[in-house]
Amino acid sequence: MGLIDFTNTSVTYPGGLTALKDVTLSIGEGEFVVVVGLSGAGKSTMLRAINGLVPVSGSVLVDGREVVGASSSEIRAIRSDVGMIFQTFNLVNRSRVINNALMGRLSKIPRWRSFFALWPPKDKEIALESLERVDIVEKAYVRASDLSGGQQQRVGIARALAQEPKIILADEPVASLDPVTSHMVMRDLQRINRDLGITTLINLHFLDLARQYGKRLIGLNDGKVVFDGDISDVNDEVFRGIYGRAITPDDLLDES
Amino acid sequence: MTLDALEIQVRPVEPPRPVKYLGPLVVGVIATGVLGWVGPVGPLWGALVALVTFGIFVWIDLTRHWLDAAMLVAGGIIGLSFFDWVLAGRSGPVDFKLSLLAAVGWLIYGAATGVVVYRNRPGFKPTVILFQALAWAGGATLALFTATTMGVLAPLNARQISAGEIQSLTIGLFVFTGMAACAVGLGANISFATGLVSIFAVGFVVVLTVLAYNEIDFSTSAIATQLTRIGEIADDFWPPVWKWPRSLGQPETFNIVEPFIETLQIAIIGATIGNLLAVPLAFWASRMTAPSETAYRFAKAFLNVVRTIPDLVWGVLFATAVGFGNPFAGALAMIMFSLAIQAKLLSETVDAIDIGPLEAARAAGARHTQVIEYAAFPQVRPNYVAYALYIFELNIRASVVIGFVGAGGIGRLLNERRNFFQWDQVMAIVIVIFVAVLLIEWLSIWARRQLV
Repeated sequence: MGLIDFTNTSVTYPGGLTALKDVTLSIGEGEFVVVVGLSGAGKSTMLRAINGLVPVSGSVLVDGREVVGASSSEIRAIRSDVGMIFQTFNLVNRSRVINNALMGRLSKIPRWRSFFALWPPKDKEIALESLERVDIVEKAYVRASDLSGGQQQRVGIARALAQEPKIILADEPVASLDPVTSHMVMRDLQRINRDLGITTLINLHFLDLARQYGKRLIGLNDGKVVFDGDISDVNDEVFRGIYGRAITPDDLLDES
Repeated sequence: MTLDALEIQVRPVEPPRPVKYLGPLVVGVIATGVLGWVGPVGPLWGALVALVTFGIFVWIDLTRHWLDAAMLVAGGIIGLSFFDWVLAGRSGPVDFKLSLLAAVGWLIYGAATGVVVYRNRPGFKPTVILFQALAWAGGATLALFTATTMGVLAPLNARQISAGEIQSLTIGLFVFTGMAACAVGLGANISFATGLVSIFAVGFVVVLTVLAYNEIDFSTSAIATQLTRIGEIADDFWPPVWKWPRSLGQPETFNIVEPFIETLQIAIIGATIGNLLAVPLAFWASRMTAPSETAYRFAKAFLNVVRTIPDLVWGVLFATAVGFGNPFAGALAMIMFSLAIQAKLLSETVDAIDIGPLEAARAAGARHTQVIEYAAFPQVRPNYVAYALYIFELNIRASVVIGFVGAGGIGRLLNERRNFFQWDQVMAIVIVIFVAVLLIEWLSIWARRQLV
């Protein structure tokens, strides 16, 4: 049994679209997994099944706790152990960087403390350390909207780190960034995985990034897992199975 | 710029946050209030207040220097001795003029606190001394004036004020000073809760004031309901008459100030409480942030009902409910008026916010209220403040009008003078309203620019 266990997991949205179909796989502690697939293949849905942001059926076990059918307090407990990073960063632009990082601590403090913004020094320290880890602490008291895209994504990573999570889910973390900052953010994520041993799942669009940084690769097509194995085993045939066509320069970050 | 540069990072110093001062402020108000009831008057009282202030300064890490303590104690002793001396040696009732004079004592003390702040907070301009002094003096004036109209001082007009009575006044003083400080804090970048708390504090104090005004009787006699002949009376409007006897046989006085202050208070209460109550309703009335479908439907339905009833009808309804000519009725009507507008505007703004931060907060395990406080409210805060000030402007005008239907304020005086065919007096009232509304609008527009 791994840290995350999908067993016959499906996701059907209220509109009737089934985005994830009968997925069964296991992800072990400390793994660095890259998920690839065409847009609409179910990559984002698979990540969101882990923290219960989408309606899941079947079974998803996260660190031994069941996501399917969990009560709202149980799901909050699971989510507080799972950090999430987004394509569009999802920062509160008007708030300061430190306040965005502190959002990762919201689930750890009592409601009255968050209402009066009375953060315990310990939680503040954790938020600042998270910012230090992604080298953005000098901007702690700057408004999030005043940062560049790459800096904003690092604040997004710091917010996830502030949760002191067991798992980090990164949903297309570099899709809104230029190649240079993309590599920087990928290196940050790789380092966090290596240094802190946080299990990391990343959705990627670009195959060369996946090859360069990933260890294990999961390929999705139409909601089904079509490849699950070591990244070095990915050849043109595997690629055709995932994308339904041959590799083009558009699929590579550094050549597009 | 890479992770490898981890060791050479320098943490920035956290800029001061007003929320940090809320706790000391509350303790300060309570401590000095208690001291006011039991403590002595004059120099000793001044010294005690100064020591409490110094304690607060130590608490918020402003200063520990003995020189600052000495300066505060000196300012407290001189200032409060003056305050006592003015009130104890007064010859008439405590009117606005006497309140102003007594407040000079607090001006001295406020300047002392301003010097301490200026000395210890690098980057502050010397004007902080002036602002501190004015805040304390303004609080003192308002407190004294309010205490008089509340009846604390009114029965004492014929005799000397005893020591204990002065002390009870100072409690009101500190509430007002706290109010001023909270209002200043509102302008800065503060948390969701502190903003609400300060709005609530301001609202609470003003409610008390209006309840006090409720005690004043304007001696309105029966109101004539004749139709007026507009063409013939046009000549009577000019020149305006500024003074008239309040009732037969009384000397002529300028009667416009008190009801106008009442109108202002109705507008302030209405805007404050209405804007406060609108916050939860607005978040309920948007699908983005509603806690449940039921809450959404309830909020929408409630707001629809409130909005379809015009402010004049609210005025009539509440005048019937709580008494004709009662400013409380006006305040209630203005609460409903403000609430309807703010909740509508705010919920539509919430509809248009970026959903991303909300998802991020939810993914981090935040509770629903935390999602709203940290991800949704910051996105609409500038709009909220701008709407609130705009609603305050609307309230000034609307509360003049609802006075006509028996909800108190200057509208009532206007109606009364009109019914007595005192057109020259009506003209004077209209001029006062015109100038005041204009000034308040300028002030409000200026404030909106500062905040947004």
